[in-house]
Amino acid sequence: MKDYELNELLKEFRDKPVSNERVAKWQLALGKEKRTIQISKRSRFIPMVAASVVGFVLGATLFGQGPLHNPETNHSNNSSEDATIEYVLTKTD
Amino acid sequence: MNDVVNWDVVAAEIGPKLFRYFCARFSENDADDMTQDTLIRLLRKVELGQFDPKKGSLRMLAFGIAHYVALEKSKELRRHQMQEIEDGMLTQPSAEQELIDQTASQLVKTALNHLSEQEQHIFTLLIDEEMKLEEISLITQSPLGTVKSHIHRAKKKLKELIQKESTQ
Repeated sequence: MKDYELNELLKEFRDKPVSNERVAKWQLALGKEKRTIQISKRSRFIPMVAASVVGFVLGATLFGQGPLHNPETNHSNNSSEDATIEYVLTKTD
Repeated sequence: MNDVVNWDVVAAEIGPKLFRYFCARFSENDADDMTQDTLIRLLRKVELGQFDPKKGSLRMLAFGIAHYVALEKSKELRRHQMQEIEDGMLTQPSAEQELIDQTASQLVKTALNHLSEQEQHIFTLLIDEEMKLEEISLITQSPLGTVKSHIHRAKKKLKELIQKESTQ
Protein backbone atom coordinates (compact mmCIF):
# COMPACT_ATOMS: atom_id res chain seq x y z
CA MET A 1 0.00 0.00 0.00
CA LYS A 2 1.64 3.22 -1.18
CA ASP A 3 0.50 5.85 1.25
CA TYR A 4 3.05 8.38 2.47
CA GLU A 5 1.10 9.35 5.59
CA LEU A 6 0.50 5.72 6.50
CA ASN A 7 4.18 4.90 6.02
CA GLU A 8 5.18 7.79 8.25
CA LEU A 9 2.80 6.68 10.99
CA LEU A 10 3.81 3.04 10.84
CA LYS A 11 7.50 3.34 9.92
CA GLU A 12 8.94 2.73 13.35
CA PHE A 13 6.79 -0.32 13.92
CA ARG A 14 7.67 -1.74 10.51
CA ASP A 15 11.39 -1.27 11.13
CA LYS A 16 11.31 -2.86 14.59
CA PRO A 17 14.01 -5.54 14.71
CA VAL A 18 13.23 -9.04 15.97
CA SER A 19 16.17 -10.93 17.44
CA ASN A 20 17.06 -14.52 16.52
CA GLU A 21 16.85 -15.41 20.21
CA ARG A 22 13.23 -14.33 20.29
CA VAL A 23 12.41 -16.40 17.21
CA ALA A 24 14.24 -19.40 18.71
CA LYS A 25 12.13 -19.07 21.87
CA TRP A 26 8.94 -19.22 19.81
CA GLN A 27 10.26 -22.20 17.84
CA LEU A 28 11.04 -24.06 21.07
CA ALA A 29 7.56 -23.38 22.43
CA LEU A 30 5.96 -24.60 19.20
CA GLY A 31 8.08 -27.76 19.23
CA LYS A 32 6.94 -28.58 22.78
CA GLU A 33 3.30 -27.92 21.94
CA LYS A 34 3.46 -30.13 18.86
CA ARG A 35 4.90 -33.01 20.89
CA THR A 36 2.17 -32.58 23.52
CA ILE A 37 -0.54 -32.74 20.86
CA GLN A 38 1.00 -35.83 19.25
CA ILE A 39 1.16 -37.64 22.60
CA SER A 40 -2.44 -36.76 23.43
CA LYS A 41 -3.57 -37.94 19.95
CA ARG A 42 -1.90 -41.32 20.49
CA SER A 43 -3.20 -41.75 24.03
CA ARG A 44 -6.75 -41.08 22.85
CA PHE A 45 -6.70 -44.60 21.34
CA ILE A 46 -6.02 -46.29 24.66
CA PRO A 47 -9.55 -45.91 26.12
CA MET A 48 -11.01 -46.99 22.76
CA VAL A 49 -8.90 -50.14 22.66
CA ALA A 50 -9.63 -50.86 26.32
CA ALA A 51 -13.38 -50.44 25.74
CA SER A 52 -13.22 -52.76 22.71
CA VAL A 53 -11.44 -55.47 24.73
CA VAL A 54 -13.90 -55.17 27.61
CA GLY A 55 -16.80 -55.27 25.16
CA PHE A 56 -15.39 -58.35 23.47
CA VAL A 57 -14.84 -60.16 26.75
CA LEU A 58 -18.32 -59.23 28.01
CA GLY A 59 -19.92 -60.28 24.76
CA ALA A 60 -18.09 -63.60 24.71
CA THR A 61 -19.09 -64.23 28.33
CA LEU A 62 -22.76 -63.31 27.89
CA PHE A 63 -23.40 -64.86 24.49
CA GLY A 64 -21.24 -67.82 25.34
CA GLN A 65 -23.93 -68.89 27.82
CA GLY A 66 -26.63 -69.45 25.15
CA PRO A 67 -28.78 -72.58 24.83
CA LEU A 68 -26.31 -74.18 22.42
CA HIS A 69 -23.68 -74.19 25.14
CA ASN A 70 -25.95 -75.27 27.96
CA PRO A 71 -25.28 -78.94 28.58
CA GLU A 72 -28.81 -79.47 29.80
CA THR A 73 -30.47 -78.19 26.63
CA ASN A 74 -27.77 -78.95 24.03
CA HIS A 75 -28.58 -82.24 22.56
CA SER A 76 -26.47 -82.02 19.42
CA ASN A 77 -23.60 -83.92 20.99
CA ASN A 78 -25.80 -86.32 22.83
CA SER A 79 -25.44 -89.71 21.27
CA SER A 80 -27.78 -91.56 23.64
CA GLU A 81 -30.87 -93.26 22.21
CA ASP A 82 -33.22 -90.97 24.16
CA ALA A 83 -31.62 -87.78 22.86
CA THR A 84 -34.25 -87.16 20.17
CA ILE A 85 -37.11 -87.63 22.66
CA GLU A 86 -35.40 -85.31 25.16
CA TYR A 87 -34.96 -82.73 22.40
CA VAL A 88 -38.64 -82.92 21.39
CA LEU A 89 -39.76 -82.68 25.01
CA THR A 90 -37.48 -79.67 25.60
CA LYS A 91 -38.74 -77.92 22.52
CA THR A 92 -42.34 -78.56 23.51
CA ASP A 93 -41.67 -77.05 26.92
CA MET B 1 -1.95 -30.03 5.94
CA ASN B 2 -0.42 -30.56 9.41
CA ASP B 3 2.22 -32.91 7.92
CA VAL B 4 3.34 -30.21 5.52
CA VAL B 5 3.70 -27.27 7.92
CA ASN B 6 7.22 -26.54 9.09
CA TRP B 7 6.63 -24.73 12.36
CA ASP B 8 10.20 -23.45 12.61
CA VAL B 9 9.65 -21.62 9.32
CA VAL B 10 6.25 -20.36 10.49
CA ALA B 11 7.82 -18.97 13.67
CA ALA B 12 10.60 -17.29 11.66
CA GLU B 13 8.29 -15.77 9.01
CA ILE B 14 5.00 -15.03 10.73
CA GLY B 15 6.36 -14.57 14.26
CA PRO B 16 8.09 -11.21 13.58
CA LYS B 17 5.00 -9.87 11.76
CA LEU B 18 2.82 -10.76 14.75
CA PHE B 19 5.37 -9.28 17.15
CA ARG B 20 5.40 -5.93 15.32
CA TYR B 21 1.58 -5.97 15.19
CA PHE B 22 1.40 -6.41 18.97
CA CYS B 23 4.24 -3.95 19.67
CA ALA B 24 2.14 -1.15 18.16
CA ARG B 25 -0.32 -1.48 21.03
CA PHE B 26 1.39 -3.22 23.91
CA SER B 27 4.76 -3.39 25.66
CA GLU B 28 7.55 -5.49 24.16
CA ASN B 29 7.27 -8.13 26.88
CA ASP B 30 3.52 -8.42 26.40
CA ALA B 31 3.99 -8.48 22.61
CA ASP B 32 6.46 -11.37 22.96
CA ASP B 33 4.07 -13.40 25.13
CA MET B 34 1.14 -12.63 22.87
CA THR B 35 3.09 -13.64 19.77
CA GLN B 36 3.97 -16.97 21.37
CA ASP B 37 0.37 -17.46 22.49
CA THR B 38 -0.91 -16.72 18.98
CA LEU B 39 1.57 -19.10 17.34
CA ILE B 40 0.62 -21.89 19.76
CA ARG B 41 -3.10 -21.37 19.12
CA LEU B 42 -2.34 -21.42 15.38
CA LEU B 43 -0.44 -24.70 15.72
CA ARG B 44 -3.31 -26.26 17.68
CA LYS B 45 -5.84 -25.29 15.01
CA VAL B 46 -3.72 -26.74 12.23
CA GLU B 47 -2.65 -29.92 14.07
CA LEU B 48 -6.24 -30.63 15.10
CA GLY B 49 -7.43 -30.28 11.51
CA GLN B 50 -9.29 -26.97 11.98
CA PHE B 51 -7.46 -25.08 9.25
CA ASP B 52 -8.88 -25.02 5.73
CA PRO B 53 -6.36 -23.56 3.26
CA LYS B 54 -9.21 -22.87 0.82
CA LYS B 55 -10.57 -20.24 3.22
CA GLY B 56 -7.31 -18.29 3.50
CA SER B 57 -3.60 -18.44 4.17
CA LEU B 58 -1.89 -19.45 7.40
CA ARG B 59 -0.76 -15.83 7.81
CA MET B 60 -4.36 -14.62 7.63
CA LEU B 61 -5.46 -17.17 10.21
CA ALA B 62 -2.58 -16.09 12.45
CA PHE B 63 -3.71 -12.46 12.35
CA GLY B 64 -7.31 -13.49 12.94
CA ILE B 65 -6.19 -15.26 16.11
CA ALA B 66 -3.94 -12.31 17.01
CA HIS B 67 -6.98 -10.02 17.04
CA TYR B 68 -8.65 -12.12 19.75
CA VAL B 69 -5.43 -12.38 21.74
CA ALA B 70 -5.13 -8.57 21.60
CA LEU B 71 -8.79 -8.17 22.65
CA GLU B 72 -8.25 -10.41 25.66
CA LYS B 73 -5.13 -8.48 26.64
CA SER B 74 -6.85 -5.10 26.21
CA LYS B 75 -9.70 -6.21 28.47
CA GLU B 76 -7.23 -7.44 31.08
CA LEU B 77 -5.26 -4.18 31.01
CA ARG B 78 -8.42 -2.10 31.16
CA ARG B 79 -9.63 -4.12 34.15
CA HIS B 80 -6.36 -3.45 35.98
CA GLN B 81 -6.47 0.21 35.09
CA MET B 82 -10.09 0.59 36.25
CA GLN B 83 -9.22 -1.19 39.46
CA GLU B 84 -6.35 1.21 40.07
CA ILE B 85 -8.56 4.20 39.30
CA GLU B 86 -11.23 2.89 41.68
CA ASP B 87 -8.59 2.35 44.34
CA GLY B 88 -7.60 5.99 43.88
CA MET B 89 -4.10 5.01 42.83
CA LEU B 90 -4.34 6.92 39.58
CA THR B 91 -6.66 9.23 37.72
CA GLN B 92 -7.76 8.46 34.20
CA PRO B 93 -5.55 10.58 31.92
CA SER B 94 -6.90 12.41 28.91
CA ALA B 95 -5.61 11.59 25.45
CA GLU B 96 -3.69 14.87 25.33
CA GLN B 97 -2.05 14.34 28.73
CA GLU B 98 -0.86 10.93 27.65
CA LEU B 99 0.80 12.27 24.54
CA ILE B 100 3.07 14.72 26.38
CA ASP B 101 6.81 13.95 26.31
CA GLN B 102 6.72 10.85 24.17
CA THR B 103 8.86 9.65 21.26
CA ALA B 104 7.33 9.36 17.79
CA SER B 105 6.45 5.68 18.04
CA GLN B 106 5.21 6.12 21.61
CA LEU B 107 3.04 8.97 20.35
CA VAL B 108 1.49 6.77 17.68
CA LYS B 109 1.11 3.94 20.17
CA THR B 110 -0.65 6.11 22.74
CA ALA B 111 -2.82 7.70 20.08
CA LEU B 112 -3.75 4.24 18.78
CA ASN B 113 -5.11 3.32 22.19
CA HIS B 114 -7.72 6.04 21.76
CA LEU B 115 -9.15 4.45 18.64
CA SER B 116 -11.87 1.80 18.79
CA GLU B 117 -10.75 -1.84 19.01
CA GLN B 118 -11.71 -2.48 15.41
CA GLU B 119 -9.90 0.64 14.18
CA GLN B 120 -6.78 -0.36 16.14
CA HIS B 121 -6.91 -3.90 14.78
CA ILE B 122 -7.35 -2.84 11.16
CA PHE B 123 -4.75 -0.09 11.36
CA THR B 124 -2.08 -2.22 12.99
CA LEU B 125 -2.63 -5.01 10.44
CA LEU B 126 -1.14 -2.54 7.95
CA ILE B 127 2.20 -2.77 9.77
CA ASP B 128 2.73 -5.90 7.69
CA GLU B 129 3.58 -4.31 4.34
CA GLU B 130 2.51 -7.44 2.48
CA MET B 131 -1.01 -7.19 3.91
CA LYS B 132 -3.64 -6.32 1.31
CA LEU B 133 -6.92 -4.57 2.03
CA GLU B 134 -8.82 -7.60 0.71
CA GLU B 135 -6.99 -9.80 3.22
CA ILE B 136 -7.78 -7.36 6.04
CA SER B 137 -11.41 -7.52 4.97
CA LEU B 138 -11.35 -11.34 5.26
CA ILE B 139 -9.44 -11.39 8.56
CA THR B 140 -11.72 -8.84 10.22
CA GLN B 141 -14.83 -10.15 8.44
CA SER B 142 -15.70 -6.60 7.47
CA PRO B 143 -16.65 -5.35 4.01
CA LEU B 144 -13.84 -3.73 2.05
CA GLY B 145 -15.55 -0.33 2.20
CA THR B 146 -15.70 -0.52 6.00
CA VAL B 147 -12.01 -1.41 6.16
CA LYS B 148 -11.12 1.59 4.00
CA SER B 149 -13.23 3.97 6.07
CA HIS B 150 -11.75 2.63 9.33
CA ILE B 151 -8.26 3.25 7.95
CA HIS B 152 -9.17 6.74 6.81
CA ARG B 153 -10.75 7.60 10.17
CA ALA B 154 -7.85 6.11 12.12
CA LYS B 155 -5.28 8.09 10.11
CA LYS B 156 -7.26 11.31 10.62
CA LYS B 157 -7.64 10.79 14.38
CA LEU B 158 -3.99 9.86 14.83
CA LYS B 159 -2.78 12.88 12.90
CA GLU B 160 -5.05 15.19 14.92
CA LEU B 161 -3.89 13.79 18.25
CA ILE B 162 -0.21 13.89 17.30
CA GLN B 163 -0.46 17.37 15.78
CA LYS B 164 -2.13 18.67 18.93
CA GLU B 165 0.81 17.41 20.96
CA SER B 166 3.42 18.89 18.67
CA THR B 167 1.79 22.35 18.78
CA GLN B 168 1.74 22.44 22.59
